[in-house]
Amino acid sequence: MWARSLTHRVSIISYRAGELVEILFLIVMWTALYHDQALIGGYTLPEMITYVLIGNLVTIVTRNFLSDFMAHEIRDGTLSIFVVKPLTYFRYAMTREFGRVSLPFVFSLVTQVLLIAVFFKHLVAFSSFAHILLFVLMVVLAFVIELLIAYLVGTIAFWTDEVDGIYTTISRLKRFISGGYFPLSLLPIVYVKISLALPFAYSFFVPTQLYLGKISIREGLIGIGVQCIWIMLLYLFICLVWRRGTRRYEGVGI
Amino acid sequence: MKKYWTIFKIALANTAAYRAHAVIWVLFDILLLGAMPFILLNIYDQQGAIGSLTREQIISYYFTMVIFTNLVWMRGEYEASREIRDGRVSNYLVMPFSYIVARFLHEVAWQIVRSAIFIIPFCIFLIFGHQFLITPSMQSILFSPLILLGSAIILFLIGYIVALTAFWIEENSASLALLYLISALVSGYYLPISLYPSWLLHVTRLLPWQYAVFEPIQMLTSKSYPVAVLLLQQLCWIGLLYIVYRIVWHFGVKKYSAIGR
Repeated sequence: MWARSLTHRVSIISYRAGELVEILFLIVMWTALYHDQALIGGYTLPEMITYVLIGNLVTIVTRNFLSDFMAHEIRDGTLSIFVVKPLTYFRYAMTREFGRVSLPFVFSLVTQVLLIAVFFKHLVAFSSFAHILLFVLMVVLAFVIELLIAYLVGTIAFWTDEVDGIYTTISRLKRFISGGYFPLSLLPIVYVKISLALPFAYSFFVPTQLYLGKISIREGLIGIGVQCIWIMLLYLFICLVWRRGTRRYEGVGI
Repeated sequence: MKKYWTIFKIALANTAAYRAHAVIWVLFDILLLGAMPFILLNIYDQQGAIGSLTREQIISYYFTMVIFTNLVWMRGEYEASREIRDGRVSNYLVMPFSYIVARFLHEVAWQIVRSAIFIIPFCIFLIFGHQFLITPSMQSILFSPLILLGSAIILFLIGYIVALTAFWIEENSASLALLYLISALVSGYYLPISLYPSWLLHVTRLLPWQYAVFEPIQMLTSKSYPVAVLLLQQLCWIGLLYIVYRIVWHFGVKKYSAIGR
């Protein structure tokens, strides 16, 4: 899997460059906005920089590319192989994705650790070990949720073959709703409540709030409960969509 | 001309069939750009100003940006890339019309469908939010079709040139994603460029996005603006980008091996 991934070195470099540019831009942007200001929305500049860096670390750990590969397999007709084999595509895709994300994960982690080292003096330390334990558990569940969401997004290819632009847009939309561009608490309270009811906020905003100690252990445990509910709901939704999608599937390309 | 009109009609029909995509693009722009004023106004309320921007300028800026992205900002690089990767560009190499013109007409068709979907949220905002908007000068209004056309051509050429990297790179989706990110950052899509630190301002002045996105929006949200200067700057960038496109296309077609056909 690593050998296969390394054949597209330009892609790897481009994506890492993009990550770096985006994170640095966010830090530059917030530094500019804090020009004459000690606090914005209850965050100091070190807390905001920590929010960006720790949040992006969570994004890297929970990221996957499942929807892209699924779309190609549905479009190319390669999915037909799984229709006739005694192996469910869901289990195969999930298992394969663990291997596929490992190399980009290593590269991104190195980039992220370097960035954290550069900005180390500006970072805020985690609040308590209990918060960190909950943080780790939340990140693990967020990884599972991201996989399930990616699987669901990948099934769009059953209904349309023009998926490239859509996937990029959905990815940006998810980043926005998860608090990847700014803390969700800066938005009006109704947006925050809607965001906390959806699974996306638990891939960036809520874990970083736990790290910064801005939410209590009790609120963290409620968040984990919400994540567990979403995992069940997403799995049920996937079963439903998959059944309808495979009815439409024609195996074009095989 | 008749052949291009036929291409345009076919593109319009094809694009209308994928209107769900347009809905997602429009939704994304409205959500993101609708939320940004809340963030900045939150800061504005605490410190009374953000750079030199007033409350009305902040709201006008993002409202105009939403209109701009839905009317003008073409994103056809993914489709162009795929046509090269799949070998479908071979059709255009042997036919008696220009591929770049055909692609541009496809994108115009796409923008028409997207604009049609955007009309409803646009009208809703005009009804409830018109008091926050700044009326531009008569000169800006008169020249705006020309400036917006210039913006569309610049953004189209940039995306098209990056899409042509598919002649050399089989998996160029990462390059396209990088383009998407860089263009959003240096165009003022997320934050008005005037709020950037001075060293970053020097960088954005050397890039075409400022003259394709930020400056036209400044023109439409200011009481007075040197429109003739912006027009000249856009023409210069169109000329430069067209030369780059010709060079990249020339070498790309030589490398092209029509895999998939």
